[in-house]
Amino acid sequence: MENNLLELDKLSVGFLVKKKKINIIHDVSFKIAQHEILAVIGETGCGKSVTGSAILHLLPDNAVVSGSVKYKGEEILNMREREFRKLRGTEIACIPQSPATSLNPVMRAQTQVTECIIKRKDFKGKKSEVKAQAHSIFERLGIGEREIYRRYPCELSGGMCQRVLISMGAITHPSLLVVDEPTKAIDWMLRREVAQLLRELRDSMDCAMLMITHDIDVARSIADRIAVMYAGEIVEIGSPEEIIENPQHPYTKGLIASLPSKGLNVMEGFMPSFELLPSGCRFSDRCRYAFGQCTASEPETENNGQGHLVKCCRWRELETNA
Amino acid sequence: MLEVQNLCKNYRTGFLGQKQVRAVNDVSFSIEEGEIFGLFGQSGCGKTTVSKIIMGLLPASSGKIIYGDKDLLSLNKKGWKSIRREIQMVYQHPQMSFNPRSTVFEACAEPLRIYGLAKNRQQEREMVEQMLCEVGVSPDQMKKFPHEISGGQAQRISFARTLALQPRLLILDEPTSMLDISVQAQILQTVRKINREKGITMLFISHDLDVVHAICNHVAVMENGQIAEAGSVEQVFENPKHPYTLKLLEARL
Repeated sequence: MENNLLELDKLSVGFLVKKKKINIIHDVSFKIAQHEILAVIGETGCGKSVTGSAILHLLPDNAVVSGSVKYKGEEILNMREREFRKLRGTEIACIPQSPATSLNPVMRAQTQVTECIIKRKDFKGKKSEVKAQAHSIFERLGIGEREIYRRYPCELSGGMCQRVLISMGAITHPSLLVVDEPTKAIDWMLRREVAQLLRELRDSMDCAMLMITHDIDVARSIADRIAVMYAGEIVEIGSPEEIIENPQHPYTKGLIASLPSKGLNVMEGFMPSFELLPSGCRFSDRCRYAFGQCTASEPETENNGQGHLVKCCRWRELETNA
Repeated sequence: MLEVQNLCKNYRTGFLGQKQVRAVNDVSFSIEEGEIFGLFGQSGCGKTTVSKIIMGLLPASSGKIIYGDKDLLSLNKKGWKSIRREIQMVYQHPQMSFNPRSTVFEACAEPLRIYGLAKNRQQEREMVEQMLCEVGVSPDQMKKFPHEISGGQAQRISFARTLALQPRLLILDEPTSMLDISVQAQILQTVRKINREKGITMLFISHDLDVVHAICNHVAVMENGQIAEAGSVEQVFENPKHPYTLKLLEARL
């Protein structure tokens, strides 16, 4: 397809720890079309943020990356840092997690937001124009009162800091925004506000988003498609309705059933450590439906026909049984 | 079982304490024996302040807290020691509520030692093991330090060490807000199990409406230090009367 903005194909990431390679991300493939919001959901430590960092070239030095990441048809995974810097921030921007710690505590909000434009080597415009631009974004995000640009992060509430971060990502009008946990540690009322903000931002700026979150409700309300991640693998991708009302993969089923509104059904066990992964399907040791084939070989990712991808060798049987 | 009457907590701020902040303003509610009572509200509305006053960690400005036949606010230090065994608390940050320099075993054995519940080392070890089994933690975790265990495990262990004292009232301050959904379900099931099997009364503080809805019997909605609405969960969430409750319900995604 021509209109794919970002295309990940068999992306794998490992880390060298004490000369031993530990594989974290394994064969992650997905596509993001223009103007689309893809939410990646999963538990803490399943590799969601590592995927985001891999796309942004922000991994630490001991990372070993393979596979391919194409942005607008161009391979960016092995791009040199010098060239990639032209993309990062302008074409692909990111909104980091935890607003309380991501902002520079000794810089005023406005300076931080405009910094990413003014400090560029090829910056030729006027500083006052950039400031005006920042102010208009602040206004759009509902923090337009004059004092707020001049304040320091410690003087702002959690929700305000989150919005300052969002405006930092949005000011360059990127085509792709990587949003990492926008609603983590945010209050019930603000959560909805942030979700709405992101959706408005997408509509007004016409950008695609990769949203990394563990909040299923937020993902359902704003995403166009949801990808479920477990132990470094994407186990299921589909539309929000499909994933939440009709999950196919046993892990997604368990995850959805453990939501308070779906009855708090407990899924036994914990996600395994990346050093001690079970052979074959990575979910096999916790799966209620696992049998011989599950531990013998890795399941293929199959398409059920409507763009709903499942990585499980028994999903067809499970569907007919249910 | 526990009755909070007209509780107030004021802080003085500003130049020479001229301004007064009413953190908790005329809060009254009562908790029945054996139920899970939810205290629900946005961050900064005074939920945690109320719980700290009940625990005796903060002095109140005025009001009464009746527990059994005593007023908790007029107790002295000696009187608190026996009460504190009956009222226990589980905190929000699982790992931060442990002493980083002592192992899980020591953290669980400490309350037993303070109250002299175990006769000897052997019995102490057995009691800790039994406690951990009850909340679903395997005894081989005992030698570990707090930074080596996951958030979910840590939260289970903090349950275990409060249960050691066989409390009658357990205060849970947002026990699952830092955890994943699947782990949250595991913890909440444990909460339910403890409540049902041991008949421990619970005060459950949370800002997550779905969680409160799922596990509480009665609920009080707090707004800016005041109780906006209180009643059974069905009453409050299915037929809300107060505009603030309505607003909160609308914010549901």
